[in-house]
Amino acid sequence: MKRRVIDVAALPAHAFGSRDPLWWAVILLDAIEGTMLVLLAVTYFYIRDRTTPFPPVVVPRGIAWIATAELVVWLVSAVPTYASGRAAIAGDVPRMRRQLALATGLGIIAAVLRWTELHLLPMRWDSHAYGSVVWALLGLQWLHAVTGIGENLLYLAVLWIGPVEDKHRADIEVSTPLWYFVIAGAALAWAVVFLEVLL
Amino acid sequence: MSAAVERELELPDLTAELACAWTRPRGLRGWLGDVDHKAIGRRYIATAFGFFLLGGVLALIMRLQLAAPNRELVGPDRYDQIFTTHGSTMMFLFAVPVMQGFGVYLVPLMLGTRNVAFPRLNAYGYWVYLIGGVFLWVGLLTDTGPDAGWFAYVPLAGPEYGTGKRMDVWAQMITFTELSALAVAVNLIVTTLKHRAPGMALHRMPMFVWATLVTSVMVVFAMPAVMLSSGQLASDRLIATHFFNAAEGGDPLLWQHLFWYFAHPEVYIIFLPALGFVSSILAPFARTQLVGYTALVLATVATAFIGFGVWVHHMFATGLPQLGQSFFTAASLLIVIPTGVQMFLWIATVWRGRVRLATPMLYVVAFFVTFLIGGLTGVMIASVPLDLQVHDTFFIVAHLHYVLIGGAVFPLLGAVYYWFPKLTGRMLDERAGKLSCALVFAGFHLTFFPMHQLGLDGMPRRVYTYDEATGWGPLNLVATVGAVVLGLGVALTLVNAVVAWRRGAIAGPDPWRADGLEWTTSSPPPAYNFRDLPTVCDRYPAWTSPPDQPVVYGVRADRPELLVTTLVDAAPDHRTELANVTLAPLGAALATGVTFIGSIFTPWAVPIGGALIVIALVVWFWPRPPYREERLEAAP
Repeated sequence: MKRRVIDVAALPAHAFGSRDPLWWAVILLDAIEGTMLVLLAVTYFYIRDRTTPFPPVVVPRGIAWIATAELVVWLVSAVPTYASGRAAIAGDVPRMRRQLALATGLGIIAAVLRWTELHLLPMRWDSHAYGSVVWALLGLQWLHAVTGIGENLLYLAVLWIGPVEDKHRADIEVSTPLWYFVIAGAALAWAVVFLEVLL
Repeated sequence: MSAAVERELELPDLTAELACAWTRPRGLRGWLGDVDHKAIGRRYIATAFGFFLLGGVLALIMRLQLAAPNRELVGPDRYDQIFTTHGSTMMFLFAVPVMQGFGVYLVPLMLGTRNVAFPRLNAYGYWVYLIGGVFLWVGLLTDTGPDAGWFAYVPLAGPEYGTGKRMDVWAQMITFTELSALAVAVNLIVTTLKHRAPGMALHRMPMFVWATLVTSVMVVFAMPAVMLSSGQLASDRLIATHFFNAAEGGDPLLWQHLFWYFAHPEVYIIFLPALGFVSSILAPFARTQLVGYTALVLATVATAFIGFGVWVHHMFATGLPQLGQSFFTAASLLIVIPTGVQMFLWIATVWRGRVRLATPMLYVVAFFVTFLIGGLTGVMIASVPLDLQVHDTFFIVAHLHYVLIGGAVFPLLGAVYYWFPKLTGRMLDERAGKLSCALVFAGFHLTFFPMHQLGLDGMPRRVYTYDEATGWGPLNLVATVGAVVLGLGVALTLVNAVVAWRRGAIAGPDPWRADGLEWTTSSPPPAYNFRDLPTVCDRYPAWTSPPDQPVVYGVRADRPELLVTTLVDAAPDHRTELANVTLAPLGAALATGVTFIGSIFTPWAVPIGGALIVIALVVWFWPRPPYREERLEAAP
């Protein structure tokens, strides 16, 4: 017996951007981790409001400049990340490799700078509440960075070892919002902790 | 871009291929590596009810202890652990996971798809939840049960007073369960947005799916607060940070703000899916379509929004500025409006329909009565002067149980009776169901109604005993008798379920003549859910779809493949392949367990566990080898 059908056999087996379910998962992951970061920033200002004098120790401007350099590196890394996403859509695998490797390299530099800042800070996490929240904010953002770098390294391994399938291109393209989130987190951490030091 | 086309054809029977692609292999590996949403959903539901029974046993122990003045069934230290574990179990190991478990099981069936969007994440969430729950109970059984209340107020829960590992167990249990809840929430949101049957535009989604979607969005924005705060508590205790240490610039009230910013929405995270149950049950048992579907959806969304703006009403006794108190009183009262809208629409649905008083509907009636009382006492304690009088008394215990048991557990038990035939293929006994409903309803009110008066009489919460001169003995005895009756009602449902599972009447696909897509497939559904993926043209597809309603053709049957549809209109967009049976989620969950549990004892657990997690994730995400045809296509 014949039956009315909606024939979807000709539809593609992958999609880019918000058409891909994975894009939504990445956005929701950003929302979850972003909520954590924002609440940590709220914690910072809550503690700031109750600490006299604030800050209890002065963060040297040199560290704030390192953090500024780190933020610049993060911001620059958005360009190759965007380019890798466009290359993924275009199916240009060599360009994907190059741009993703460049973004990952910049991310590693930024993460090393963050590690340096943490070690130069004039307080530890157990010095006082200010120390605790600064370490938590910078440390959480650093963890996000390491996660993003780790994910990129995995993608790079797939891109180098191959075979590179269409769905891998889609995965790489829809994961770019995670990197943008890491950049946004770095900007938030910089604005909360270091902007005041520089002003 | 290629597009879906509508046409007529002779449908091939692909049942064998579908079964091969979707059915898990037999044996332990197949069981441990199962990623089918129905299996994971059943495990969530069964595990959560297991914890519900354990938490219920603790409740009975507390009631027996308080049945008369100066009883010595348990001492104060053990009592502290019992009430803390009872609250933590019911909130974190039962209420949220059981609602999410129903979502995991039902949402793909209601949407007309074959699995959730991320099956491995689904399995990971379950294993993490199980590890966290077992961890809490091992703590209790080894005299390391948390003892500072389910909300773990500092400084009592902090390093100064909360010595030993008890509150570390609590903090890490939170991390486990919230991680699990977030994994489920992400899965259900994406499944709902991207895997609906063609034609199921947002305005045609079942109410339970709407409730689950809104709840999941709440989870995404609420749970990070408790993950953060429990992490801060753990770090205060384990590596000497000072977030909540007033002597070093921290603030104990910061804990309360962060905790209640999560925990008040948590009430709605528990309660909104229950409202979805009520709407789902009402339509088939009133034998009519819901009155005011759009208003019901908007009320659900409004409840979620307002739910994020009321947390401070838990902190009226902490000496906040008056302006803040007034704002949060107003916000707390505001939430009555969407809840009232829903209540009146349900009553209108009952009014319009011809009601069948089967067991699921009886539980809905029990919900109406009980939740109304709980809502009214909620309005009372939204008022600062009254709240200050009854704060930390048994009045609050009564209120929260009226809202949570009346508002969530009664609809949940109705849902169990309603969907049990779908899960098992067999009917629960109706007479036993009605008797259990009567026992649960009577036992509940006998237990908790007297607590209002006990609170007004000044009996504080969390005391392990009281003196005879207080005069609280008789009402406490009534409450204990009620608890035993309530326990009998729950036990009767349990026996009913066990007996029906083995030899209940065969249910068939649709024993209730219900309206949703889940009733258009067999009971229990096959591994692939639907032989032919459905399309819909209405909110009540099983009632209103014409006989020639098209089905989806062209989704591969030889691989676990799903159709992805567009966000608003659910038009076919593309196809996507899912992961099948894999042990990677279990491995990642075990690595997570090593990290969280080990970190209580040594900081080295973090890098070691972190390395294990990385290994598990690389295995998880490493691409499968290409299929033969893909290799052939790629060959020069």
